[in-house]
Amino acid sequence: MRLKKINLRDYGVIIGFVVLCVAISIASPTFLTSRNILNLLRQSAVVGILSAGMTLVIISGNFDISVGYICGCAGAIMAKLMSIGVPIPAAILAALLAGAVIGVCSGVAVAKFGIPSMIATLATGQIINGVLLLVTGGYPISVSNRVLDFVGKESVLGIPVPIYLFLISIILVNFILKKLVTGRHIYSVGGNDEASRLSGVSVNKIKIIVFVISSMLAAFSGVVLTARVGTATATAGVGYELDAIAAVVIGGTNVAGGEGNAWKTIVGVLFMSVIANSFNLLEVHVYFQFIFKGLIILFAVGFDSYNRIKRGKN
Amino acid sequence: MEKLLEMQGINKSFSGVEVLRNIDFFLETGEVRALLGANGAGKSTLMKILCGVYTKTSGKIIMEGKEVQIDRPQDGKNLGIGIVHQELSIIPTLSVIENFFLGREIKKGQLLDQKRMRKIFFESCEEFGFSIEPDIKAGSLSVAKQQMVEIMKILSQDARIIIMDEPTTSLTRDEKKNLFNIIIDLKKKGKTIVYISHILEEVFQLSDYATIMRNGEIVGTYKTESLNVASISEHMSGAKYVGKQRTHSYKQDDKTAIMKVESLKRNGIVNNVSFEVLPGEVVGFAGLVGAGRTEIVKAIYGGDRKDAGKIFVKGREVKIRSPKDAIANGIGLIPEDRKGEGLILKQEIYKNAALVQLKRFRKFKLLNEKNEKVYAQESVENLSIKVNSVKDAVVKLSGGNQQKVVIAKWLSQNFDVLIFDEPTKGIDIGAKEDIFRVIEEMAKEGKGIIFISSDLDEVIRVSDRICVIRDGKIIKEMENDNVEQKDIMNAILAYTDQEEKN
Repeated sequence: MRLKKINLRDYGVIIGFVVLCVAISIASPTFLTSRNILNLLRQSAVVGILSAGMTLVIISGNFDISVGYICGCAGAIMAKLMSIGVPIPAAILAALLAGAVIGVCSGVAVAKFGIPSMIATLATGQIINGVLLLVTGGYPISVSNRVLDFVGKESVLGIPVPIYLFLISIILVNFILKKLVTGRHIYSVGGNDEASRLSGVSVNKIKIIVFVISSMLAAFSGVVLTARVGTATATAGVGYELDAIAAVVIGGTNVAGGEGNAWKTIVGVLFMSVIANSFNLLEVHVYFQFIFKGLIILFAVGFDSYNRIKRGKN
Repeated sequence: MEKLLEMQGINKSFSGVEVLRNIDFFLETGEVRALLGANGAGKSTLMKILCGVYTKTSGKIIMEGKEVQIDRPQDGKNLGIGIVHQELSIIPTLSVIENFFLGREIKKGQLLDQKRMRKIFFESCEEFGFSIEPDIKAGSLSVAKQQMVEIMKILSQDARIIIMDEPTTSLTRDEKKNLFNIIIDLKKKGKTIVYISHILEEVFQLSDYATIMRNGEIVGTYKTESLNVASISEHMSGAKYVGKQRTHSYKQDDKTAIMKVESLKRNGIVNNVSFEVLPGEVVGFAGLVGAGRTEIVKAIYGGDRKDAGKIFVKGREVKIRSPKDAIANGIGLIPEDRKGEGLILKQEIYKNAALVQLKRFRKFKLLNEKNEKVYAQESVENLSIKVNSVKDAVVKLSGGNQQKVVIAKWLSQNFDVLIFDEPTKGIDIGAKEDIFRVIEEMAKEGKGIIFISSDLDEVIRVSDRICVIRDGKIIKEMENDNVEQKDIMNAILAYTDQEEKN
């Protein structure tokens, strides 16, 4: 007998998402137009790429609250290098490399020195923010380049390029999680790091890898963001880390680590951007948007946690 | 004697699975009642229903002739039912007195009334004859002292029925004696005690009556005097008890040692330990809790750092700095604390079973869950692990079955040496037999085994050679030619005497 029990916990977010979309499309006819949808997706791509990396971090039992700053900083590094004549591939590579270096620093701080990840990345985030302000001097740096225009503004088969990049990030993370030994070890470390260590898992290495991947994806999202808006600014990416964390936990990844899934992070990302988009369409003041977003996070995670408590008591 | 408490027709199901069936249970005032049964027989569940941690699916609870409702832990407390859990519910970062008053702090206006709390605390200490320093952190106390704090807390809440769920698993001999004195004293004061334990010796020593459970049902309640090990085992398992014979020896005397440890040291903890394990040999580590058995094997395995010492596998020196190095050199460790160190509880059975040798199950360098599941399924059959599906989370299994999953994890590779650290702790007789069988099969294949247990009978039964451990060193090594419990105890006592003289 292979009857699959439909679990409200697994599908609750998806059902909620569909209901929200239906409700909005009734309230505002512009919502379901292809222009609006594509626009919405394009806007969600940057946070989406961040969320892909954040999924790994949270499954490993950690948080990375520096990714918003990494996003901004990587964009600024690339723009600055281009402004002094460095060719575009080298500039992008430098931005990604910067991300990797930051990831190693955060990873070492967490793994080797045992600093709680929330605090370690709070600190690295501050440092990166300072570097960003130094690089830009506080002024925006505009970039104009064919490659960047393609990455940020063009479409392929009618779908904007950033959306492909978002999907590729998710596929990459899913591949790591489901197909590589490293991925299984990420789940194990998030589930019980001492048991993992005694089973021969290099726990420190896994933690560092997780932060490196997440930071590089954050740097990559910075490249996409700069390409999309055409400028690198000192405030780019600020606050994105919280959107990414929200998207991941709405997608059902366990905040305590050890459980989660990259595909569902897509739903979390879309959930967040549909809310933003629909509030704009319905001309509801942005202030309400924050309140509503907060409620959604409480509801989604609360539903999950409450079920877990109930299961535990039974 | 009057019936203090009666449970009638209790049923309990967890998400459709029946774990207790039509239970009738009673307690009389002032008795010590042993509650026995294999893992998963339902002892803990029944007691958790009695004190309100779980709610029953159906049935009645009657106390002193009146039906009572116990739906929450608070209800149990109000009726005078207290439980000392297997895993203590002490908060290690709070002081003793803070733990003692946790959840029932005394206030003066809105502020804590420290003075009155201290007064009450000292009064309780006096009343029950405990002496515990109120201001030290509970976490710095020994497990036995922590347990005392819990018992005292329950008593000070006017508990009349005190349930103790395997209270002696982490106690030393002296601490056990102390606990038994406390229990005898409580009985004299008219308290009723329910004592859950796997250690039959304790049951004979303490209890008036024993209730035996099997598969969620009560087999019967017997006068303890009328029982013996064989009859209890029969009632518990429903099968005839075979007795303790030493198994055949597979030691290969002529071969070089499969593992040799030379002058292993960890400052202050492991003191100059040297020994060998021959192919096919089972070396038992006997000793009291806290003697340093776990510390020695963890230092060998790279789980803890070592300060000095050499390890040879099949005559070749190996460098072990982490568990990963140990595994690469053919040494495995089944750790003492299966929940904290052995398993990833929220993960599926097959993922746990595959963790040590994930690479073996890959296909084209990619993880292959199908291979993992096939391996897990084989293990389930070989080790007779009771599961619904290998896709279930390990947390759902009973203790004995969880332990078998840990063992499955270590059978996934051909290890030369496998260390079993307290593999039988808190598991039932049937599961123990299965584990002994695995050890015997490994010996037959010529592997080296180190076996640690606090149950000396087990060590004697399983081992070819016994190392007696005390203070992080081997104080005596003996070939197992009809070694008896008393020989091991004598070795420990002689050593302790010697130390005291020095």
